[in-house]
Amino acid sequence: MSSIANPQPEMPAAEELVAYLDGELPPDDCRRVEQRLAADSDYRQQLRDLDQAWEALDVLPTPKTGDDFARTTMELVTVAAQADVTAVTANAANARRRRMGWYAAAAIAGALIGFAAVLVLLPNRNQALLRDLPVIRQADALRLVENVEFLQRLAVEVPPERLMNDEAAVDNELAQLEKAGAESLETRRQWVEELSPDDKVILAAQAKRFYDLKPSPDEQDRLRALERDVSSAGPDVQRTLLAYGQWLAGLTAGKQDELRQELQDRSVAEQVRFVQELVEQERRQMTRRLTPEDAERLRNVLRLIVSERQAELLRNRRRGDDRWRRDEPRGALMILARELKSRDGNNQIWKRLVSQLSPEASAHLESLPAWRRPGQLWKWIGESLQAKKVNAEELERFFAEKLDNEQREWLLSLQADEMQAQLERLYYVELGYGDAAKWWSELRERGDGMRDRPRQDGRRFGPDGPDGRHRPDRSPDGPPPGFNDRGRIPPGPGGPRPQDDQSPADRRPPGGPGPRPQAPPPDEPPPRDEELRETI
Amino acid sequence: MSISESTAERYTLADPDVRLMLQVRDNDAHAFEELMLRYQNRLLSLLAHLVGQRDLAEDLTQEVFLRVYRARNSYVPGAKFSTWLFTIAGNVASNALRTKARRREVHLAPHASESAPQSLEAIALAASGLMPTRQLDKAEMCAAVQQAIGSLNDRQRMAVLLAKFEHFSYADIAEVMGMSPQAIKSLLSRARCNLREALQPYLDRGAMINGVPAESAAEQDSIKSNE
Repeated sequence: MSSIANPQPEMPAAEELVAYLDGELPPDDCRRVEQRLAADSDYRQQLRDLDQAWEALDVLPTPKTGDDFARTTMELVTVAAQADVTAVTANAANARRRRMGWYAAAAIAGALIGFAAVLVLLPNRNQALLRDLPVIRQADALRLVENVEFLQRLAVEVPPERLMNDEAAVDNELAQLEKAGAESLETRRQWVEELSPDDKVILAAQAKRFYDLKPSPDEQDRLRALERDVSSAGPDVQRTLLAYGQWLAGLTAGKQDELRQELQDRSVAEQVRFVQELVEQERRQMTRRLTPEDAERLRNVLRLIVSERQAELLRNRRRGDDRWRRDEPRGALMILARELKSRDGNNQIWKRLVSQLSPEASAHLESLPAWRRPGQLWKWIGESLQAKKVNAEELERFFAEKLDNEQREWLLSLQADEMQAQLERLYYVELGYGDAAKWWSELRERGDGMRDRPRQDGRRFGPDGPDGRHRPDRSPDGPPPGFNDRGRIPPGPGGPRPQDDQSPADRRPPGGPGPRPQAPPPDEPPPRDEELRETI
Repeated sequence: MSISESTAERYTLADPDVRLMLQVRDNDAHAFEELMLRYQNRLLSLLAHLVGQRDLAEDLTQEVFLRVYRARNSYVPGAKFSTWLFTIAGNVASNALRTKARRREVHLAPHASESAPQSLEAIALAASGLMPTRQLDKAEMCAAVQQAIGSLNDRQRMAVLLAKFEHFSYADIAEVMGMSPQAIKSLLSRARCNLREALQPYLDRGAMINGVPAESAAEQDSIKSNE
C-alpha cells in the first residue's frame, strides 16, 4: 500500500490511528504511534475500538451473482453489439451480400460485428443454437425449398455444376456440415469454436435470421423438418441444396423475395422449371461482362483514338458547347461518343473498337439488336475505364469515411458485384473526375433515345426485368441500378425517387450526416485532369 | 487528461486485467467474459452495499459491464483496471442513488428493512440493558452493521467499502473517487469513527465478532499492541 507522504504533525488521534491501522503511515510516524500506544492506555483503547468496528464489517453479507448472471450480462452486451451491427448492416439479405458488406464496412463495423458474433457464439452459451446448427447453416436456401422432391428434381434438370460458381466452396461446406450436424453437441460446439472470425460473423447472422423467421415458430419448425429430410435423403440431395444455396446467394434480397413469391402455388415441376429458366438467363447475362483482357485492349485503343483525334474531335464540338474546354480529353471523348452514334462518322471508330474484342464478346455484340449495340459497346468502354480501378483498401476507406449511413445501407443492399461497381462509381464521382456515369447517360439522352426503347426481352424474373414490368433500374443500357445519371444515390425504399424533370441540384437524396458525392458545378473546371488523362 | 505511453505501458505490464481489457478493446469477447467473471461478484457486493437493494445492484452491475463494453474503444490504461472499473461503478451507483432519492425510495439497510424492521437503538438495547450477557447472533450483528453502514454518507460508504473489501490503498480510493489521498484519509477517519460510534453498544457488551467475543478480541489486541 502506498503511504501518505506528509502527515500533519497535529493530526487528530483518530485519523492517525486509522492511517496506522490501514498501513498508510510513513515508518517514522508508525514508530511514533507505536511508542505512544505502549505508553498510553486511552490511546490503545481508541485503537481497539476503531479496529473492532472495522472487523465487525466482516459480518456483512457478500452477495454472489446467480448462475444466469453471466449469461444474461453477455446477452445484454450482445444485444448492444448487435444493435450497433444492425445500424451498419441494415437490410441484410443474402450471404454473399453480407460478406461483401461486411468486407466493405470492416473499417467501421467489422470490430463490432466480430464482437457480437463471438458473443453470440460463445461456447455453451446457447444449447438451442447448437441443436439448430445444421438448419441454421442452410436456412437461407431451405426457405426457398418446398420439399425434398424439389431438390431431387432440380438435381436432374439443373445439375449442381450449373448452379455453383465455386465448386470447391460447396464441397467444403458439405464437409463442414458433417461436423455442424454431428450427433454430439460438444462436437458442434468445437466446430463453432474453430470457425474463423469471418465465418463466425456469417454464422451469427445466419442464426439471427433463422430465429427471426416469421411466422415463428412454424417456419423454424418447417425448416428443421426439411433439413432432417434433406440430411436423410443422402449426400447428392445435400449437395444440390448447397449448390442451390450458392446460386441463391448471388441474388439480391429483392430477387430472392420475388423468387419466393413466384414459387408459391406452383407444382414442384413448375418450380424447378422456373429456377431452370432463371439459371439459363443468368448464364446469358454473364456473357455481357467484359473480361479484363478485353477491358485492357479497349482502354488502350480508346486512349489512342482520343490522343490521335483530340484536336479534330474538339473542332467538331457543337456550337456553344464549351463545357469541356478545360478538360480536353474528356471533351474529346464526349464528341467521340456522339460521332460513334452518327451514321456517317462512326464506322471506322466502331470497327477499331470492336476489333479489340474477344470472339465471345464480339459474338454477343452481334447477337444484340442493332440499336442496342452502341449502348453495349459504350457500357463496356465504361467498364474498361473503370477497370483501372482504385485498390480495395482505398475503396474500403472511402466507404467507411466518406459515405453516410444511408449510402452505406443502400450499397449493402446490392448484390456483391453490383455493390462493388457502384461503390467505385461513387468513389470516382466524389473525386470529381470519374464522372463516367455522366458520359454514358449523356450519350443515351442526346443520342438514340435508347432509354425509351421498348424492351426486347422480358421474363417474369431476372436481371432484365419481368413480364412486361418495365424496370428502368435494370435496363441493360440505362443508368446503373440505384443511380441517377449523376451517380448519386437515390432515396431508400419508400423515399421519393428523383424525377427526370428535376434539376440535378434537386436530385438530392434525403438528408444524411455524411458527405455526398456530387458532380462539380458546370462553371468550375473539372478537377484532377492529370488523373483523368492517366485513366484514359 | 491524456495518458502518456510510459504510463500505459507500466499499467499494461503490471496489471493482467489491463491486458485483458486491451484484448477487449481489440474485440476479444472471451477476454470480456473473463473480466466479467473476475469482477462480477466484487461489483455486485460493492453495489449492493452502496444502493441497499440486491435486485437493483444486479442491474447496476450489468450496467457497469455494458459501460465497459461501450467504452472499450477509447480505453487507455491510465490506471489499474480495477480502479477504472470501480470508478465506473461509483458513477453508476451515484446515478442510481440520485434517481432513488428523487423517487424517495432510499433505504440503505436493505436486509434490516426486508426482515422485521428494527432500529439500531432497539438492537443495541436488546444487546445491552435487557440482556447484558447475551451474545448477538450473526443475523442481528449483520443487521446492526448494515444499519451502521447505512448511516454513513455516500462518500464515506464508498471509501469504507473500497478500503475494507477491495483492500484499495488511499491513493487508489482517491483515484476512484476523484479526491486527494489526504482527503481520503480524513474521510476514512471520520467514517470509521462513525462506525465505531454506531457499533459501540455491541462492542461494549460482548457482541460476537466473527465468532469471537468482542472483549476477548480486545484483549488479544491489547496483548498484540503491547508486544
